[in-house]
Amino acid sequence: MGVKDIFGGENFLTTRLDKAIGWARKYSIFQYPFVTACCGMEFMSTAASHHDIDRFGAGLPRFSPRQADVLMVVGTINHKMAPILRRVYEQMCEPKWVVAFGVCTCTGGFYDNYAVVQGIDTIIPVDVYIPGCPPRPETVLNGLMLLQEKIEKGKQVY
Amino acid sequence: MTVKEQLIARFGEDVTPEPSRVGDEVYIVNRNRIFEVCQYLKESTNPKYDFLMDLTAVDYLHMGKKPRFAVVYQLYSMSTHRRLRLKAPVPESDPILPTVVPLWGVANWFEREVWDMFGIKFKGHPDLRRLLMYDEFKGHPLRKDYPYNKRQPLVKNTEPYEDKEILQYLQRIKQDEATQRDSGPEYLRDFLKRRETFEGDRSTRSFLLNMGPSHPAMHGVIHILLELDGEYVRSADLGIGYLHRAFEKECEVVKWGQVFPYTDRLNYVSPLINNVAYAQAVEKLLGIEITERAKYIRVIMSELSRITDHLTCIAANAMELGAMSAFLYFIEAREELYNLIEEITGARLTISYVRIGGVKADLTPDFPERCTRVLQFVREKLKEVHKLLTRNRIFYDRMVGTGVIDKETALHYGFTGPVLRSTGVEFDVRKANPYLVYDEFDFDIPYGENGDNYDRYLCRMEEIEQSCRIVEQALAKLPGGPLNVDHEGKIIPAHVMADYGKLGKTHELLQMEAITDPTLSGSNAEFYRKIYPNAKNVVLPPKEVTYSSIEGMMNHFMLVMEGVGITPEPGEAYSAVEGANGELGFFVVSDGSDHAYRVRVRPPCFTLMSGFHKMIEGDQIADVIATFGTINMIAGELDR
Repeated sequence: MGVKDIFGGENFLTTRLDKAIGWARKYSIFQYPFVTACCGMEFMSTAASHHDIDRFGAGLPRFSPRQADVLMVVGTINHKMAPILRRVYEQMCEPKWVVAFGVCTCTGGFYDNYAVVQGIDTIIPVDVYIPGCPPRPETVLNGLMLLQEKIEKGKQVY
Repeated sequence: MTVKEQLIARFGEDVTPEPSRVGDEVYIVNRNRIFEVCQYLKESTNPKYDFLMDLTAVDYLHMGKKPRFAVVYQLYSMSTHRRLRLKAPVPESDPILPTVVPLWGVANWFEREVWDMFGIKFKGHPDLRRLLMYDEFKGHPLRKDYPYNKRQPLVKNTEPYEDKEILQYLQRIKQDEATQRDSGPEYLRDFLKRRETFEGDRSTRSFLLNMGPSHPAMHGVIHILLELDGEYVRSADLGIGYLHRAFEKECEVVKWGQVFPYTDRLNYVSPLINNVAYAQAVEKLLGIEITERAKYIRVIMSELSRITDHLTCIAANAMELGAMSAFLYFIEAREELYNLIEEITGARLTISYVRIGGVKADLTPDFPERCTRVLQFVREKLKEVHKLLTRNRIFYDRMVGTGVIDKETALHYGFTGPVLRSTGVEFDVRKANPYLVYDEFDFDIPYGENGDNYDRYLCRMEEIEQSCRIVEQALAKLPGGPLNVDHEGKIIPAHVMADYGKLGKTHELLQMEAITDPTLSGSNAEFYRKIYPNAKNVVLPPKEVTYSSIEGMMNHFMLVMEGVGITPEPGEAYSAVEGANGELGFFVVSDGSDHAYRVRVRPPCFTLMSGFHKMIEGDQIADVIATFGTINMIAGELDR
């Protein structure tokens, strides 16, 4: 029985419920840090006490894709890594979001060569792009807030 | 008798010395006798060159040399701290030469990499598979005729190891068993003996476990295939290349000066050391001596970087063992260091601060004071973490006696840095082959005894303190005077490097004195290109000069345009520094153009990981995490 059924499934209630669920989801991000490269250092900085990602309700990393709802792709993805990223993404349950952290994941960055995937959006859908090589913690937090906005205002699946 | 005479007396025409412009000791060796030459150098010469520092190859296709390839061996003498380079030419038609794996275990991975990247085979190699690229990849990317941006289709999502491969792997192990029963390590002998008694007709099969490339308790992407006997690791096989970003190929595409951003991202925990190492190699090739002040600044920056590296390593290691508070304390200290570095260099992490011929910008006037404050803060945190971890029962129990490696095995696998020093070998490039101004400082190198995780942890903790000491001494001694060498190797006073243009003070540009540029060439560019290598014109002029005078503009233009700029004479050089994880060496080859012909980096992590299985075999599975943490593997450097 879905949440909708409990409340009778009427339109008026659903829209308000959407809002409530969106608000709740926004502050309970369980992220899966798919950390491969240099951006991981700034990810650590963002997570640690100076910048404290916990203030945004995203402090708890889950290292199992099945328990996570935001996939943070932190660092360069090359051709050898790409199938693994794809598999991790497929293992995550809906609803799920993807953050491309750093310019390598956005476009491949200055690694225009035989080994590097030119943007992870060629493999999986991306919700928020955080540019920078690596992005400063402030940029990361900005990106996170954009994601929260997207989560809140988007169509809620439940 | 010198080594040269000894070699020639023994091998005659098969070994010929090659003159080196930069003073390296180089010999050309007949490829068929490379094993004998290496063995002779390792065991019989005086002094013995008993340590394989690096093994790589160069493709001379565009330089028109015959034969096309050369496999390059960098040997090191642990007793006299001297370096020697062997080059074995290999023709394209028959790219095969004898392996040196029986002499040095580390050659296993080096040779696999050369096979992967160049397609050169090694006769007698036990396991010649691809290392950095995936099996489906066609071609050998570091060959000159492989286009740098030729991508191949992504492969399908496959199981990391199919059943077939596991069976093959078990087969291989079974073949080894016969030898290991007699000569293998003790735990393995025990294991095999026990199995024989229990086995009877019901055969046991050990359990295979894939760890990584995306594993919660490991920072860095690596794939470890563990063969488990209950809770104990019997053997391990490592898969790397999950962060291969074609650093060495990319360096051949961009200009000499543009390589710096790529070096930042090798060991991204201590980028400044990479910058310094690369700049030093190119300066050796150019024959440039940098100014005293630049040397001191490079030392300061290298040591600050080393501190950040060790802080991060210990923090991550402690976190993976469950000590979150130590992580938070150290990252707090690292954040202060990042802020300090940012003030000088303009970036927190990927810095590109060092330039060929000097550094990008001078220190700010209040730097010494701020730096002292930050070091004080680091020391406070160090003390706190000492209290938290060093005598902590849980931490102690998990670190002591795990991940043990002995001296001989460590040298066999080419270990350097804190991991080697934890076994008691006294080798630190800063002391053994002092570069920059390291011989002017009073600092100690911590050594361990047991070669276990705890010793490595203590070594790193102590090295942080020693790096603080070096920075303080360097700040006290910091000489004034010029910062960079200018075109023609002359020095530029620091105040001229102030770069008012970048500070927005454009009105001051007009008052600047214009400097006549000797390289102003116009239509004579072709003429200057010929004489350019001798003019040590490597540092961009200050923006004031660039914007306010046509000569400055031309000078700038000449440095940044395609085809001109920094153009070392043809030649090659190897230069090494002490990275945070061990010897970080750059082997650069120039063909006289403005692009590097080949940049090879000798990554310290690579050798550490090639011997990683020796450290975890016989340990419990949980110790893999602790050992992996103290190794401080950085994927960017490992896979390049």
